[in-house]
Amino acid sequence: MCFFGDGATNRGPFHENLNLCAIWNLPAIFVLENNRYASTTSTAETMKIADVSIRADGYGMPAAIVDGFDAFAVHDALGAAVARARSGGGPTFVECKTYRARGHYIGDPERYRQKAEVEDVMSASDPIVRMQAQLGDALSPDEFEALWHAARDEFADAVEFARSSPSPEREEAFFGAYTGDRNANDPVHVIEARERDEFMPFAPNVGAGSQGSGH
Amino acid sequence: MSRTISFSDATLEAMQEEMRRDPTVFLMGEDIAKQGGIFGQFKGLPQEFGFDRVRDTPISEAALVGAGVGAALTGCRPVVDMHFADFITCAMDEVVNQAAKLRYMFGEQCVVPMTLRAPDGITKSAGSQHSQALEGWFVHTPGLEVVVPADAEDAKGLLKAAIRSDNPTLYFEHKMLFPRKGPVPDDDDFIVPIGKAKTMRDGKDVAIVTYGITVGRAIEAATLLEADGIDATVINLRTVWPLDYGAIVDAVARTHRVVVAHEAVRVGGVGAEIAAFIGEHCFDELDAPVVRLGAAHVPVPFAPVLQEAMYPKAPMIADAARRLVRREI
Repeated sequence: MCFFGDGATNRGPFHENLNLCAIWNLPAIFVLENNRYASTTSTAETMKIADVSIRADGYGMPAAIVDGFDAFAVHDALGAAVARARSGGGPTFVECKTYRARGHYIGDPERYRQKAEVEDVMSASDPIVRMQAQLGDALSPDEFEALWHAARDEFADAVEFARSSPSPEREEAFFGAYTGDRNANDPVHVIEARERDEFMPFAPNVGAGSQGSGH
Repeated sequence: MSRTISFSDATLEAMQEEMRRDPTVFLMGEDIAKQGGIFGQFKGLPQEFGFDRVRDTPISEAALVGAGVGAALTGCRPVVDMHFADFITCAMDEVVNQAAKLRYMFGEQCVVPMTLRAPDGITKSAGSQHSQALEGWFVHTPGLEVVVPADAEDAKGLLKAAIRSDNPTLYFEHKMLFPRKGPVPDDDDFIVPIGKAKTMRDGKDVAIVTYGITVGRAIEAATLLEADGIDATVINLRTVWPLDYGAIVDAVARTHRVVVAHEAVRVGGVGAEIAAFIGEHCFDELDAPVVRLGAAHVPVPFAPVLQEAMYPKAPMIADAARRLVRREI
């Protein structure tokens, strides 16, 4: 299963891979999260089509369009794609129509869209709010609250874990690009160890969570 | 007369002046026209020159550079912004197999006056795929010019020279340099000639040959060395292809000891070419082996403590120079 955004679908490798998977009839599922923005550029400015999934047709690949804010609809569409893949039916393209709730990066000033647009879409489409409505009586308000808090706690714990974890040892910088025992007396690990010994006397002991100076 | 402006504004002035001077100059790239560039380096250009000459594009690097090559072949001077130097990898065929070779393969019947702008280098934890310095690859590719500005003056003068050059030119601009300010001459026709180095500091004991952001680090190292009574020359190459071999020979002849430094990976880097050249042509002038500094042979790590450990900065450069002068190498 391959996840990607709308921006990636204007790159050549996207097209090459759709064609390749189609002619080889591979059990692949292409899941497009079309959130309407590629970095700071609106998808409306970078393609003339409303539905990216029509591109799959050009490679002989079946495609589905699904409301990406609707978790059950996404589950159904992907379930059908998985069944096709498992049964030897080949690849499927699933376009999930969604929206980018946040900026492209932390601190993105988001000059490329209006705040009102974000509020309009998210107030009408928040998938969690929608799922609660869809579940109806299947989930009591208390159970929903409990799930909601459990999920938030899990995230908060993960953030806390990351924040409180020590920085890696500086020596780690010089190892890991190649396989094998870093202490082995083989060509690549000998070179890595030599570079470690050369750089370590000058490696600043930057504190955990701080940023490199770049100077 | 000169003014003090940021590196970013220096590149903006270069674009403005060259676009006013020559109607065939145009700019295209991702997130540049409406957004003004991630460093504000394109601010106001579409308002002055229109969205035809300052074009936002899809994420289609191969098509972008390919279109640039076509436009260049047919009489324009395209400037293609690669967003991050790392993304040139998505258009390597167009750069290496097309732009670099067309003039040679077609009997000098054509020119490819295209400029590729490539913000590069190590910043604040941009990660392995957004931090590279890749100039060495292009120095190794016959047919391309490669320039690497070190300050605002270089930024403006080299960009103007790149745009005016009839050869395909890669312009590597370090992301950490964009906000830094420096003097820039008050002259619409000021250019920094391609292939000419600049002596930033003249000292008799040791020469630090470098380029790009490492020039500032070398000057800082020279200040550290001063405290030890060591007088260092700092050579800012400005262009890494064609190299100013003459300036390198002169620096060796004056100091007899050389440190070559860059932020790019040391192994197989531009420094290797320079050190080998000195070994071949200036052997008798040397009082010590050439010391070559560059990043360790690993991807640029994300964690700040790892990132800051693996590339040369002023203390490492100063240490190498000090050991050379004290005959410890």
